[in-house]
Amino acid sequence: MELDEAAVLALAPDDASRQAARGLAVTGLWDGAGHDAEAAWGRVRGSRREPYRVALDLADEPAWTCSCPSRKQPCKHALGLLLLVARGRVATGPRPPEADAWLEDRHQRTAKVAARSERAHTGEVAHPVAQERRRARRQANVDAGIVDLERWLDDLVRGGLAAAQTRSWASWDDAGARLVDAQAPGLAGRVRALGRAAHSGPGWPDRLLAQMGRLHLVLEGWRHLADLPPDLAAEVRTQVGFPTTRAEVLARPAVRDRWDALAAVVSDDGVLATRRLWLRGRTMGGWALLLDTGPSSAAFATEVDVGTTFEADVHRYPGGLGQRSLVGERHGEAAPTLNLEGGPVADALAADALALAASPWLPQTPVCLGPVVPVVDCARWLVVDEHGDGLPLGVPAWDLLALSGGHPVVVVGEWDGDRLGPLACFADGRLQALA
Amino acid sequence: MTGSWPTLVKAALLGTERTGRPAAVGGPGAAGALVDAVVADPERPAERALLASAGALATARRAGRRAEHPAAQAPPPAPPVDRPQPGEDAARTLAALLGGTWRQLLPEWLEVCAVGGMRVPSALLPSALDVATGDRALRPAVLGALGERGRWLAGQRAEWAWAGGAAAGAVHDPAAAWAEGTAGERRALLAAVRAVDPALGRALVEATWRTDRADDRAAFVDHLTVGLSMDDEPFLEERARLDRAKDVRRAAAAALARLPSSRLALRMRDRALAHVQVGVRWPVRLPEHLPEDWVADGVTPARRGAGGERAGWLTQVVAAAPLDHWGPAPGAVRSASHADHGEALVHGWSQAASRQRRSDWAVALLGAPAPHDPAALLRVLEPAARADWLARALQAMPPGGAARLLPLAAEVPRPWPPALVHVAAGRAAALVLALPLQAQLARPVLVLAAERAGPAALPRFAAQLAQAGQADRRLQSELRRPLAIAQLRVDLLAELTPRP
Repeated sequence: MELDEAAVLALAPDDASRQAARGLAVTGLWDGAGHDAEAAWGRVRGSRREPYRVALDLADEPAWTCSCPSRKQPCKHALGLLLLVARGRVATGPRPPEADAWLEDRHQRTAKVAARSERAHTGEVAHPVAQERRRARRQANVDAGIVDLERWLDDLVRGGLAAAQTRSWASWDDAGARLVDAQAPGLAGRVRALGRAAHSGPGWPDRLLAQMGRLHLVLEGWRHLADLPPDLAAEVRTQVGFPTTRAEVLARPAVRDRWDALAAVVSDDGVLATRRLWLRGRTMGGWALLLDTGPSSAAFATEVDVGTTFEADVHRYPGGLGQRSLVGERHGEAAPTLNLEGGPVADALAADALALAASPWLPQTPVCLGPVVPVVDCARWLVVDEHGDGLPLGVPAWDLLALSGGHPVVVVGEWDGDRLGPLACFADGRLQALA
Repeated sequence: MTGSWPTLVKAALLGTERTGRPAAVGGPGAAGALVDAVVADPERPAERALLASAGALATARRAGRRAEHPAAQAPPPAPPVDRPQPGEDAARTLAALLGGTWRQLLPEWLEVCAVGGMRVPSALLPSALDVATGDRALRPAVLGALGERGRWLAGQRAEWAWAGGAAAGAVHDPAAAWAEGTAGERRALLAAVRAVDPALGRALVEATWRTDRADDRAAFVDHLTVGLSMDDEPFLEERARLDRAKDVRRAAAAALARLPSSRLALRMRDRALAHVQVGVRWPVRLPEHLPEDWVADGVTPARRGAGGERAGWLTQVVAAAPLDHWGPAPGAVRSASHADHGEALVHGWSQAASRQRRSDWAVALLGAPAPHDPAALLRVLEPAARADWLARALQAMPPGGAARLLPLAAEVPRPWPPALVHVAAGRAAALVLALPLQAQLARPVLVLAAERAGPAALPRFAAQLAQAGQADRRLQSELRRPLAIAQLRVDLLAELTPRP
């Protein structure tokens, strides 16, 4: 695959790794670094006596191994070497036996996994009975997790949110982790978001209660799944995080459009990593959410680069009311996004109300506002459009102010009904991510 | 209907254990009736009723959310962008440097960027301003690379006022700021004013001299050494030197000693010539007791120099006297090295050379067998002359003797010429290998050479470091850090050079 620096940095599990990797992407720190068509390797000194040995598989999805003890995946050493490779600073050379052995072993393993996922992707049912058994087991797991979650929520409400706020971070994370175990990753993400809302500064009780209420609506939906119309039931399943195979989604009707990949939000709390990548269709104006969850951000798909535009078929998840989607067939190459139009605040609020009417469980809706200017009103930050309509940002956004220079710009963000989280800004002729 | 939401939040904060089942909170309208039906449903326990009404109300509130209309206006927009931003590679490197990795290379990035007519990329302006707000030493470099956009941004935030357009360097009304400022603000103001308008600075000090506290007066006199000239002499001689507070008198004497034509310096010259005979053997006759008029000019009894208390008086007198009466520097230093009171004399001359910024004396004194405070003497020289002197001195020294000179490398700022890079790194590497005990002295010099090698020397130096590491396994680990720095700088310079 073609590696570029941005793609490598996107693999980093967190900012600290990204920083450390940049410091290690210096050829002088490496011994015996080299690469060939499929792999790269090298040794780098760390805190231990023996230098760490790093090997990279460059074939399709990047993969790595490193002898360092770090639990982060990829570790800073692997990222550093990837950066060097991306910058073309590693010479070609013969592969050392150790790297060769790892790569060989890896290829055998991936071949097995590929065979398995091939079956999943094509929807080919290898053992219908076994699959039905798995599905039933998962349903039971989720049911048990939800009963547990309901009891946990009841306890919070009985004791009061004032008392709940004094709980440690770990207690919210633990509740989230139990839901990951119960195979309900969608709910896990919401529970962890409760922890963040509880520590979100002035106005936190409103935010926390609103999110708990919305979470409760998902649980009620789950309990009445059998009574719901099929679309709504499917949307509830999607919100819970019930798996839908790729093939099932890709079999659904496609929306073909030229899509702008506008922004990505990555969160990783060590247990579960989540990435929301927002696409917007140029012609139809519709939004699509590419959601990735996994044990670490390294496993996320790299098929779409933020800041590019591409023509493709996009398929919505069952239900079709929410935003979650998959990219199907691509038509042509992706190109950098060279212009972007936003809309007024009033339209964004109306779109949010419509989206809620279709799926009241949506935690946030994407917005693309413009032209807007950032305004600071008594220490409160807002973006304000030409009509004087503004949405609050909740936190200072100095980088947005710097990029805009106080001139009207187009801002992409997530609106949760209370605050706009700014994610990207179109300035200087290109889309730039905001911290 | 939003009026009922606060009631629900209050109930949730306290908990249903205390508040019991929530009251009807739905309010008017169909949505309100729905919520009230949920609450009233006896099938639901109190907790579930509260959560369900919260979910329904929160959704309704969000769907009905209106835009806000802030009272504040947007700030006046930034003036048109005046300089281009560097490429993405350079921006990524800057982000890494701002993030704390290899922070010592940050000034160079900013300088090269500014010299190339470019500016800090907009997205990184907030971090650049933050970093320089915490580290004053970085401010000049950051200011040079801000461009119009950066200065505009700095004007939007109080913490960044040091970099904001009009506020930078200029104070609207120095007299008012001087009259009303805190002690720290007044000192900072005086330093800033003296740098651009020394007479105005002195006038400020004189304006409030009678009422200022002694420790403030002493600090102000110290600050007059910024932009010091004979224009300051009458005030220092006639007021500050005769002040009632000892610290002020001492500060004034020290300032006057920097002016070779001051009345104090001339009195010191007369004293020195009365007690020291210029010549080959430098015979010295010192008074038995410290004369009162010497004390009035800042000579202290307590300071002991080499050769006892009286030699200490001699050093202080010589240090405050003009240097021109001792004959040519090289001859004087050479012959005094063998004289009885030679050490006291050389010590005094060394201080005088620093105070009076006399490079001829500094060079002569650096050549003495055991110079006093060689770092201070080296600082008297212009940067290029420092590099030149140190390169020659290291060249002339046998490898083992270089250890004493190597720490002086810290006094030579970037860019080092190839000759200095070559000899300093060579001597340092030799020391690391030959004398492990002295490796602590030599190791930082390798890093300094990598940090400060000029563009003419850098690429070759980086290559040499790589080769030397390959050739000698013991050196390899020692050279890892310098090599990394040198290569990072090679990349940094290439990234900031616009491609044709």
